[in-house]
Amino acid sequence: MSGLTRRSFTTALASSGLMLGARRASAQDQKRFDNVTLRVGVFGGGWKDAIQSFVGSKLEARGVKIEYVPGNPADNFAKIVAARGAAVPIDVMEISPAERIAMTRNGFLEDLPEAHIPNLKKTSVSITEGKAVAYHMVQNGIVYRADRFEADKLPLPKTLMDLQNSVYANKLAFPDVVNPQHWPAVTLLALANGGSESNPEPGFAAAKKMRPLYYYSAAVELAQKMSLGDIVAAPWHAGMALRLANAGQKMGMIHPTLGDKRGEIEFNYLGIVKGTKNAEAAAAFINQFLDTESQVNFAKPMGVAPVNIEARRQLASDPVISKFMLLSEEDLAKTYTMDWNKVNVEKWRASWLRTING
Amino acid sequence: MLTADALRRRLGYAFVLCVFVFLVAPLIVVSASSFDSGAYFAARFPPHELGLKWYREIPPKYWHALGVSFTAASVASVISAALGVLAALGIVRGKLPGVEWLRSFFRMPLQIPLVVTGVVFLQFYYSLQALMGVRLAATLPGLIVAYVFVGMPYVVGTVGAMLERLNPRLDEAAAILGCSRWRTFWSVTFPIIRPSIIAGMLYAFVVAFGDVPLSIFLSSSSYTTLPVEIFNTLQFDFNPSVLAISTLIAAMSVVSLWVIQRLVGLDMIPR
Repeated sequence: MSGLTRRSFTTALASSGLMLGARRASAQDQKRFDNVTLRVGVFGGGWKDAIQSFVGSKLEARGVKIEYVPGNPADNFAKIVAARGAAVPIDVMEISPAERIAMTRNGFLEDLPEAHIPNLKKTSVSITEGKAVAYHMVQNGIVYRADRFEADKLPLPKTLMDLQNSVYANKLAFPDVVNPQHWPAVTLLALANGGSESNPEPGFAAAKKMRPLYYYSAAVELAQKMSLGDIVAAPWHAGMALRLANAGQKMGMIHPTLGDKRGEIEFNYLGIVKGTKNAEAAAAFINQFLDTESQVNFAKPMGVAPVNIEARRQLASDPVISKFMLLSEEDLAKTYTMDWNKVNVEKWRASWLRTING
Repeated sequence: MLTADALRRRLGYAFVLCVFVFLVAPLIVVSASSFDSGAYFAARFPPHELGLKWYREIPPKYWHALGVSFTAASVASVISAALGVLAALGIVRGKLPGVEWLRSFFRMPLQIPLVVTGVVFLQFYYSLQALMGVRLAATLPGLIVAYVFVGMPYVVGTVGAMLERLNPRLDEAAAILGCSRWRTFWSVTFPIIRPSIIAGMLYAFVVAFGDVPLSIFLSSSSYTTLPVEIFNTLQFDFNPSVLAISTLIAAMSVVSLWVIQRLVGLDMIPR
């Protein structure tokens, strides 16, 4: 080993290891899947179109034929349950936090092949319970009409509890139990009042004290009322603030504080359905979704925060996106994420209805 | 000076007018808002900036979905009519034992929530595929079969009601005059029950065309029906082109009903 120091040897070894890893990752990125039909369970509408544009089209260039199965995760989960014992109708699908737990506990998901998802290393997340990987974050908080706040000289709330101020009465909407934003909003209120995910009742009472004009179920309905000015603020998510701002409304987004925390984020997941014959192509789809370019392009119109670190860095320089979203590592480290393992969904729903109708 | 009778009548008319306006108000709001070129993320009524922007911007996926909905609902209503007429003839004229049970059996699809029907059909299709290799899930034929299931009771109902009121002596007269049973059906029975068949087909078509809960389980990205496509879109975004396509469909429905009324005469349907 003349002329070769221990340090240079180690460096050379590490470099060759990195090159080998990079070559393997690159090979994974380029592998073709001719004659493979991949069925992907996704939300429909514009969401599906964006996935096709920024993710699906890349896979199609590698020979995959993609068939989308449109539907929300609960509906697509129902389709998989209906098919139990027969061939699976979906290979890979989007999964919301509640369904992730149900699907994992009941054996509906394959183990994720980490070796086939090299882009996972570019993200700030890891595989959850071996079965699913988060692919974006929804940032929940208080969305408000900035122009109406200014015109009516309304104080800006800092916490969800501030919305109990009578100046907001009948100008607010609160998410009903069928809306995904209901759960984190109630959790934050519960935590502020001595409750928790397993004891949400204090959150229900706090929500009722806000005296909202109504409890919204559909995002579109709230978008309509907010555009018309009937509602000036609501616990909602940054994506809708961004989309309304893109449509010309003057919107603001507050990431509410809770003790030393600021902001609430919910992860949505991708998982490979148990029994699929296309596990490798499904992993390639997940890998593509975690790719930096795909994450940036998807996040911009859809208003979600990427899990890919470099994608977040790129979006941080976007003046519109950064106005509504927390993107820096420091900010994200201070956010709260609710613990779905503690939630008893059925009990929660029944108790919410009792409180609201009582 | 109005008499008490005249006043009562006018109040009655005013009440009926109010009810009618209330019923058609959503249609008026949707149609008018679709012509507001300035609106985005909101349906504005009355419209502020008149124009056809949202009609020009109806995305191709809506036209494709409209084609799927129209094809599936049309084929299903024709099949429902064929099967429904046979079932109604059997129930009314067949002198079969347990006719009341048969009536309940054919009414059953109306009593099952459509979302349950959707899940059950999906499960059935998966089983069929596993056992016989026949693929119906997420296909157009699969949608049509399910629509026939929910549409047939309407045809059985309307045609059955008409047959109950049909004088059986007309058939007997045709037989005495030498008509075969086949010819009697086509020359005597069919012309009389035709409006009820059309009415049943219309109901079957409307139910299939506007369905979401059943279709959401049976459609795929290649065969997404229009209501499911709109439902999926509205989960994330509101785009006024939804109002434009809805207005076009409402207009087409009114024109179609008018044409059917002129050609067949729906006034003859038993009430």
